[in-house]
Amino acid sequence: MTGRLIGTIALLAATAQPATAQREIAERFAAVADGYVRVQNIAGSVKVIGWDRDSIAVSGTVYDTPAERFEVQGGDGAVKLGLWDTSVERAEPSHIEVRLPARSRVWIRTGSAAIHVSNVTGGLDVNSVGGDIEVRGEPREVFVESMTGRVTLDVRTAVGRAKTVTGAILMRGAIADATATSVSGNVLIEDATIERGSFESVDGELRFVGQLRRGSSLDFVTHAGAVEFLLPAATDAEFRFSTYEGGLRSEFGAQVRTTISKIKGSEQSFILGQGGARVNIRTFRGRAIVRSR
Amino acid sequence: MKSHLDEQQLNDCADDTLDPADRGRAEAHLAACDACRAAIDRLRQLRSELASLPRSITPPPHVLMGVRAMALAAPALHPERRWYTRPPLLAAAAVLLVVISSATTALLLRQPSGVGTGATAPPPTLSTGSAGLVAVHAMERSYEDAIAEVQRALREQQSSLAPETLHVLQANLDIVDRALAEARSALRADPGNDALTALVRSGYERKLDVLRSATSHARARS
Repeated sequence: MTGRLIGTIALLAATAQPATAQREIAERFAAVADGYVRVQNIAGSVKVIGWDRDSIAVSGTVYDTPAERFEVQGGDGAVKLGLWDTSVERAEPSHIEVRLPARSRVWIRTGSAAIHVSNVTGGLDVNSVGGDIEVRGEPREVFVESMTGRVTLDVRTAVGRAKTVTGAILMRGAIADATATSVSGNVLIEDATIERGSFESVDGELRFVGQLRRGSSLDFVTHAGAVEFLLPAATDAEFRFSTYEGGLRSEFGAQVRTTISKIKGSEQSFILGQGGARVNIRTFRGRAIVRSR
Repeated sequence: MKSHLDEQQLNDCADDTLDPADRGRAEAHLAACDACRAAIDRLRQLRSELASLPRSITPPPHVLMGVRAMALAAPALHPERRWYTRPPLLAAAAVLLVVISSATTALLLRQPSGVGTGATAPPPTLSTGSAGLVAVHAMERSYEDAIAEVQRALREQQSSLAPETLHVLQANLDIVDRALAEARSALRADPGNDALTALVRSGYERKLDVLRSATSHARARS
């Protein structure tokens, strides 16, 4: 009888973990308030939520593979969790939700998995090959990069960096020092308060919608993308636009001073209201338009 | 690069302030060196922790960059001149750099395989010796060298990237290369144009960004 029971348990154990197994996870353990947490997942999704507790709770549905089981490693000040089996041809989607102390410093990496982060007040470093990335909250600083996925930063932070190859970038909130760069993705800065900003593309559009903060300094550089501003009628800003083949159109009616270079290209400048914000636009052939809303 | 990165290079890597010429070599080394990558991770963690200090005592980045620029622009602030900054050696190094860089570019152009190789035409031959032209030429050579280094590192590991990712990568490198070719051609016709110089620099930065990003992802999946 005992032998049969052991045999049954052994059989159940063997069949419980097939070569590629989907399973539910639900783990919770103590964590320091400002520890370092690494999360990785190839496909599916990663959701990270900061909370006001000194513990980490992990839940979701994951696919184990012959080479790797989802697991949590480390403890105290540094925790690593997730799946990163690159030996499989195409990873099954795993959906991981992590609740962690809000002050944690978080590093996330995915292949195609989408990433959502909210309410983390520690530093964030988020990378994906093709997953969309969305960060909300007040991280201390945030570095985000996706080659082909879309990036959304809706944050209040000292430093915000977003980088894509083809993915669109959206920035909102309040970012003291903001940088967004893309090759062919469009960059939209919407209702964002930015002190220093640098926004670059090769042929993606650069668009600023909202109010220019007095004393702020923003640079827009693109080769062939359009640069567009949609600003309140009462805007105080000084614009400088230099281009090789592009053009500038302002619907504000400000007097535009134009300087044509000796060989080719032109530099134009104008002031809206009392000045105050400085906006530098540089294009090769991209056109710039400044509109009033 | 066989030896480990020194302290200065590690810090520059962590701060992303490495000169373009050194950056490629550093990337190539980092692709194969866990110790240096770990050291950079520690430095970045330190930087992250430093960022939490009160902002009133933390100069903004543009001030630091300004100070750095002024320091670099003021030889009097560097009484202990390094041996490799002496004019004769500098001139010899410049000649050597041009020769090596040209050979590297030619070599790369002959290698059709691999993402991003050979798409950028070699920098234009400059006919005059003005300081501006020399500076632009040096900048282009530096970037070309850095790009060649990263391309080499990427070629070794790009098989770990999905075909669709490689396709997107190549398509966007082509976009950057076309933009660079246009900007460089215009700069050749108007070498004193600071705006064009900035656009060329921006194009090279984007290309390095894309290649570095792809290399990083390829390394992670290999």
